[in-house]
Amino acid sequence: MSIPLRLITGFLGSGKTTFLMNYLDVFSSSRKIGVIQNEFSSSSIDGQLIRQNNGVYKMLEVNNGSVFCVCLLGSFIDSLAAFIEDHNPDEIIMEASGMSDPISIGQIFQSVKLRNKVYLDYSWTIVDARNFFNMKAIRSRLEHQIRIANTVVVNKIDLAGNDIEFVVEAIKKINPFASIERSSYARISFDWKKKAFNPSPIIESLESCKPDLQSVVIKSSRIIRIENLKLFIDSIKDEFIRVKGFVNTDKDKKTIVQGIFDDYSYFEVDWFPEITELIGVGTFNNSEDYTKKFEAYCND
Amino acid sequence: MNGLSILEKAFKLEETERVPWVPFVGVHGGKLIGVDAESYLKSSKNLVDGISKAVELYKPDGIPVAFDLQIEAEILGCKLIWSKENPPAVVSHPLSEGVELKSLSLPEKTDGRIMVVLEAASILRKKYPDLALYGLITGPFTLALHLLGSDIFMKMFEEPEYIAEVMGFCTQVGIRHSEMLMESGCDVIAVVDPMTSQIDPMSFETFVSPYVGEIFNKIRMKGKYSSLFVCGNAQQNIEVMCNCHPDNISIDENIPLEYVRDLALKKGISFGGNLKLTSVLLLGNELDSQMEAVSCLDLGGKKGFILAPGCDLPMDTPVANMQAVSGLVHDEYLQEVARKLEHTSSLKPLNLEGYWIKGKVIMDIITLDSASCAPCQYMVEAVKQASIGFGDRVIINEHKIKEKVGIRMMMALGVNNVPTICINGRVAFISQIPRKSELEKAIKDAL
Repeated sequence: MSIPLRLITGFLGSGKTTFLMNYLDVFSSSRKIGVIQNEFSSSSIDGQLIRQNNGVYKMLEVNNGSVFCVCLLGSFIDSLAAFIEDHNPDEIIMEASGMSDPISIGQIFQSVKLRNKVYLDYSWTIVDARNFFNMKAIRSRLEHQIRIANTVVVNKIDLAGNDIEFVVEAIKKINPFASIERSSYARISFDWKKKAFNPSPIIESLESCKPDLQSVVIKSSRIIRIENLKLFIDSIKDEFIRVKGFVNTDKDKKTIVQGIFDDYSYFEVDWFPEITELIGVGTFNNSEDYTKKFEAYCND
Repeated sequence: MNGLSILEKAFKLEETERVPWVPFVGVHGGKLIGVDAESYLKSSKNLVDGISKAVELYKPDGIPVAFDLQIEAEILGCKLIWSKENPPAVVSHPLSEGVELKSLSLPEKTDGRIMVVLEAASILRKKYPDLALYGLITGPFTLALHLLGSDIFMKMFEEPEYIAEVMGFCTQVGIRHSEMLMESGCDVIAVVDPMTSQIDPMSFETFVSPYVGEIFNKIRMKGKYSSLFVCGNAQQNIEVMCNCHPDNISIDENIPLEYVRDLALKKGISFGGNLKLTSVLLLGNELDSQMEAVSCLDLGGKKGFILAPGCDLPMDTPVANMQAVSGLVHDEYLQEVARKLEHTSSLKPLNLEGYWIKGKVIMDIITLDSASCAPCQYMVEAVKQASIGFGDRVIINEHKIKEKVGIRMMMALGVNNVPTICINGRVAFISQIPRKSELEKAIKDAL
């Protein structure tokens, strides 16, 4: 059975490591957790902080830009495959560098070495509420991470003062579908019944069936008409339990799409300079190239 | 036309007979000669041997001497962690650990591993006079991030004057390093600045443009060429990158090639990229690599475009995949085949139940189209000639991949190359036209 990987992203100082430690505090004694840490800068400090946590887990530290640079992804695939083989965790939680691209992370799960072994199940993006509007220089990277998050954790609300609701409003414009949690010290309720945490509310209900899930990433520079996008989604519903992402549906428009099983929502937004990116989770035909299938519905 | 000449034409946006090809062979060169990444990057001899092997195998028009963005950082006091398969990683940031900027000095030739690369460049220059040699330097923003760590992003807002000072210093480091590389024989200086993909256009214009622009001017004054290489999701910055006036910009698979093409050509700048590194070159097969290459060639065109991988080749990139790309660059027939195969993902293989006939040999020839393509015609003719003596015991079928049914047959037979001969469902001869005696023997064996 493939292992769910849960991803924590966010820029340096947003509270990712604290969030990870909170998560381990709650779950490391009841589940066999694999922890992956990647920071583009020195990781020894964060690594030590995690190790001081008394929970039981196995750790893979990735000290270079593996989860940032496309040229190093192959090496990360090998490390992750070996980690899974050696430790066979029930789940993996990964704290990714603030500069990493979550979509690239999702893409590697389609590789032969990782297919059917691990899938991208859930992602949290941790946002520093106090500095959210100050991070102008890296705005587009931050927005990208928010866009693909299942839950955005607006952290350091104790320091943000009156700005907090402006931050939340700005985040909702970037990703209208994400759950939003407000927190101090990256502490959110990990009650699994609450939607904010329950990583896979539908998939959890399939526990008794134990499906072998996979994740797939579709990336394309093509434009697709909205009606064709819906036809494409219809064509894959049998295989995809869940899909989300943002799609170029016109030269100056994008559509954010999110859905589970048959229930899909489409939300049109102004264009931003990124290619179409969709992440899906489901039980797939391994030989299908879903990017090519998507592009067959494109109209240019 | 030699490699440097064809690249010069591309830099000047002159139409070329074929698209120039520059494989970014970094630590992959170590794999070619059987050494690990650390040994490769620390030895001039290994760099020369690795690049020489790459030249032999991949027939490039240009190639980097070394792909290592940590040389300057190490000299300036950053600690590195070495790896067997990748370039080293920077794991400390002196300017965030109490070191003052004014205590840092510009590098000399004898510092760190600079001489390793300069010696390799000199030797390669003499060995390959017609090949364009690329000397890579770490772009000033990425170097600044190595020195400061991720703090740089907040300091850009909180202490812009200090960041300007750091950028000024990193620019002088880049200029010094470029001069050394040019003196050693490099024709093109690639300013590799991946961290600029993290910032928005306005920040780029403030904190990057004036600095890289200064480096490009110095390179131009020496009569050499410059490339600004940014990997990562840098689509928002393509215009401002062009506005820095390098001779070339180079990008990876995160950015649509047609987007870069349109913008770069409008600005009068050549552009390069962006073969998919991991999903195709590393993890795909030869056919995937060829289809990806022809897709890039068709999008890029023959004016101002340089075909290259999106970034430094992963060490374990299969040689066969890279050879598939280099073969296709020089062969329009292979390009045509790859084009035909491009749109096959929605097709299903033919069902061959009932296709085989007991007592007969079925020769299936997968071609582009023997009516219009010489290699295919010779292949079909060779099979016909060899089959004459066997009468009606041999059935010959040509399957043209110009037609969807031909592609479906190709898929059903498990064929990856064109032209190919299958005998009773087994791939027998690939691409090469076999001698009559070989074909006759193969038919006899099948009977």
